[in-house]
Amino acid sequence: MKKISGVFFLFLLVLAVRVPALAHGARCSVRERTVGIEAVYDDGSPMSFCEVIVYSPDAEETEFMTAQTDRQGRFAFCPDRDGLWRITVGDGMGHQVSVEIEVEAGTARGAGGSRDGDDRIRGSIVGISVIFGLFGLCSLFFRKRGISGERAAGAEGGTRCI
Amino acid sequence: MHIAEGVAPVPVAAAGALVAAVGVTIGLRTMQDRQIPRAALMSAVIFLASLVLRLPFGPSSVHPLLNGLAGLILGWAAIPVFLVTLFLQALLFQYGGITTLGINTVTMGLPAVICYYLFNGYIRKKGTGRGGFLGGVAAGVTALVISFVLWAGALLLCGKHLAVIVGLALGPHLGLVLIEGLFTGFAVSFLSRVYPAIFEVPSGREGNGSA
Repeated sequence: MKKISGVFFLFLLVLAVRVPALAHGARCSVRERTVGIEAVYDDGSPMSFCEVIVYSPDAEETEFMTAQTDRQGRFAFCPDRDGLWRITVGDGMGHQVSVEIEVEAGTARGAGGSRDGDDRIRGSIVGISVIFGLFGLCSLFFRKRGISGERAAGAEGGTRCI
Repeated sequence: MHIAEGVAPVPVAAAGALVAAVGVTIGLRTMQDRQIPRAALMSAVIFLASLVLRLPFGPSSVHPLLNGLAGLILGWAAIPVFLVTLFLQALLFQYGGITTLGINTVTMGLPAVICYYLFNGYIRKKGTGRGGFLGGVAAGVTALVISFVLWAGALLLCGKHLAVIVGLALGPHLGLVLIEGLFTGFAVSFLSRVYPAIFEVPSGREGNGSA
């Protein structure tokens, strides 16, 4: 009985001694040189919780990593080599933006993907102009080809495009 | 509600392009010269609505599609109109994509044609008043729902999971259904009053009659 009490006492003593963990531990450190992006829609609202795909300089078609933007549409990662990195952010509903980032000695430099309000207005004007220009040409072509068809169909009829 | 560049595998993109090509051919064959200004105007309205009318439902950004209204006004000609509009959106603003242009054209254009067959006759018969408004609401809602189903189906073929698609897009589009329906209803009601001839759409390959 005395022997058992001694072993039990020894066991408690071992449990009471504080020793550092030798395996399965985890630790982290703060990295200063990270590459961060902020993705927004054309109207300035953030692309929150959107899928991010990172392509490394070595494999342009293979995903290096996938992640998600935060509520503000931001994402950051640590590139492990120099070169041209490509980051694509998409909301899964067809709205997507790509940015290429040149990393040189740990320093990042953006190259494309940004669009300000002026670009949006410019794009809208170009788009509307192309639409009316295209349909105007179509109408012109139509009328030239359709003179004989119009005669056959009468004034009310109109002509077909093809 | 587009499918982005690079998402669709080649067979899915090719099938979408093929169906879109058939739709565009039928659309151009039935289109008459007097429809061209309407087509240009509708294309411009859809293009601008996608840029200006952003509705912040949840974390996503959705915009009105107006394919119900386009179908009622243009019939089969709505498909070439969506081809042009979506091409410009992809080129200038990276909405959708060039390789997925066919799928996106089918997703937007086919529901427009379905709405034309379902509601155009009813709206022309009922004209102004509550009947026209309700017909417009029904067309807007039906077009959006069919577009959503086609879009989700296309994404499933692209290898996406249904739960992810529904979780991502169902909530925002439930809100959009209401707005799309009301907008189309008011637009149809207004147009029926001021210019009822806008709903006279040529049908059939001969293209010189009205629906």
